[in-house]
Amino acid sequence: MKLLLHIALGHLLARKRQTLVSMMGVAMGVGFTIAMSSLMEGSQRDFISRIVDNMPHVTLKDEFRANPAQPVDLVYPKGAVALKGVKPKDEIRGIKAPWNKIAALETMPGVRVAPSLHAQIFLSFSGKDVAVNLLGIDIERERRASRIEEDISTAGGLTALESAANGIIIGKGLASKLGVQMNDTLTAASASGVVMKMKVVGLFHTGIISTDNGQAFALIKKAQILADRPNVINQMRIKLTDPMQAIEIAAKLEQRWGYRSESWQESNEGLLGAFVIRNTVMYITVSAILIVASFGIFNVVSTVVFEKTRDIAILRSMGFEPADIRGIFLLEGFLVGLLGALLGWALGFGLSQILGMVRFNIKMMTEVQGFILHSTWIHYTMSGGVAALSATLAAWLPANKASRLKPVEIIRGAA
Amino acid sequence: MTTGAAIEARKLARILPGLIPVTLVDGIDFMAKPGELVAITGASGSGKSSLLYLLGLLDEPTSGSVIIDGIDSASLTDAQRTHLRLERLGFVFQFHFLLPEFSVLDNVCMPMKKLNALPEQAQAERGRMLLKDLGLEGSEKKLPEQLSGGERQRVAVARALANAPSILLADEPTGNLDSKNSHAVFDIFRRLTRQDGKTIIAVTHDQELASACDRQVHLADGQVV
Repeated sequence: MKLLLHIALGHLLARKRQTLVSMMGVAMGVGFTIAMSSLMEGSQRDFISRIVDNMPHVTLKDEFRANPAQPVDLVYPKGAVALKGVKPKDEIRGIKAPWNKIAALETMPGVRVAPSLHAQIFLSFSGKDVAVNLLGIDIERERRASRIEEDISTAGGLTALESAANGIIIGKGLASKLGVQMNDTLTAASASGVVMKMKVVGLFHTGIISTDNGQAFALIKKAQILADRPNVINQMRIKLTDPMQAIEIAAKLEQRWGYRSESWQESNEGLLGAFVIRNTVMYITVSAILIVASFGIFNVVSTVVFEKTRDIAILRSMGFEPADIRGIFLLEGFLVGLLGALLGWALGFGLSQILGMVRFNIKMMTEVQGFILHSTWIHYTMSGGVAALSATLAAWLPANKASRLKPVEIIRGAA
Repeated sequence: MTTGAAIEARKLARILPGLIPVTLVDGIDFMAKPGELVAITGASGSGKSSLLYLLGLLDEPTSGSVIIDGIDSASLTDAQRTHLRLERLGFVFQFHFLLPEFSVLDNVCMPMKKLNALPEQAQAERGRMLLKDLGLEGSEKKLPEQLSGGERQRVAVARALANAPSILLADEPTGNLDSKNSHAVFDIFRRLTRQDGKTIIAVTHDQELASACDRQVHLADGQVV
């Protein structure tokens, strides 16, 4: 192996410019792969962590996935039955016996639950009306199950809701839209026609635009009055110590109580699916760079084989076996791939650092101030490994061709 | 049956297949004893080089066999034939075929590195000794392109002798050399046969050099005449 390596290095060093160009091709591929994957991984992780941190891991709603089956369907499940003009029973919406369910949930390890009533209301101030999603909350449980208090920049946090008769905490974006400030009193009106004067006792800023511009918090009792739904709770937001158990726990809860229980993964299925598509597109693009780089290596090794046919003949006449000849040229491809990958690691690291320094301020679904990068050893190992492997594979064809050369034919041709 | 020959060919034939098969070597019987310097002569296309390549196991005969130091090559696998070539045969061609990227010493040591029978230090020492014997002391670190034609061919001889083969096969070794260098190469061959007991078979067009050999084998149309 040492001898083969010695010969392979000799060939490569004799063509420094060609070798360097091929290595740079691989390095660019590896470097961009690392930079792009750390960019993608960073933004994905940041987005997921924002979702996981700010949203409930499981949301139990006062809904059912399927409409209740009609008696005739239950009696004749496979019968040729068609029902028309069914008038379903108009039940009062809300989770039945919520406090028993909360008590049962609170006995489960690693589970924190925050009951709430969600109501669509209008907030009016100074002639401006904004539709808002009002959350009626239980302060103590809300503290345990959500991070909203960390995002409240005003004094008192959630406790401020108890400081006024009808206190409300709104997002800074919403306050800006309405033009209200702390301690201003605004008018809240619900779809059921209840109108209530509410005092702004706190402001929050989560960084998620839809939340900051369209959400408000009040005590659960006040929300029930405003929505005209006394004693009703229509959501239980559950936080888990291990967010990855959300799918399993949501399924268990739905099976137990029948209410629709959504894991955070299900609630954000579209976005998480988009990440998969985005990552696939990204990996296809960077793979294309590596494939182009492989053609460069194929070209170099093919050229060396063409130029070295006489040397191959003499090596064979000396007693080198076809496998030795193949080994020399495969090693050349591997060395270009390996050295290119090492250069690419440095390039990828540098590019990541530069991208990490870029600053901008964009408000999309979340507020973004710059690229969030997350590199792991997997990015480096995978890109380096794929580069070295593709370089070796690119060298395979010319190497195999070299090993099949007949020394006599070459020597005859040269004579 | 032991004949005492260093190398022997029995009914050796090589026919190139094709629409019209071409006979390169036509049932040749040949032998060379240890310490013998044999010249193979003949016109162009008479089968001299083809016979040499068959003797050197670089080409496979259509029929017949080659026996080297008592080992019948017909019974060997490709890998065994390659190893036999590495261990017992040395080649010198009309063109030196030195590897241009490597130093003179590297070129000479290449077969030793492949055989790996000596420690690395000993390989380098033997390489230097061979170069010294052939009058190339001080050229160890030079590249082949820094040498004259005659010097390159002497390096090629040194490389052929690296693994101390018992048989040296030379195909027009002086074909690209002037008269002075040609004689120098044949002087080396004579010394190797006389002093070291090597068997050397050299294909040559040069009648003067051929007549200085121990024996001449003349070929015509692939047969010994």
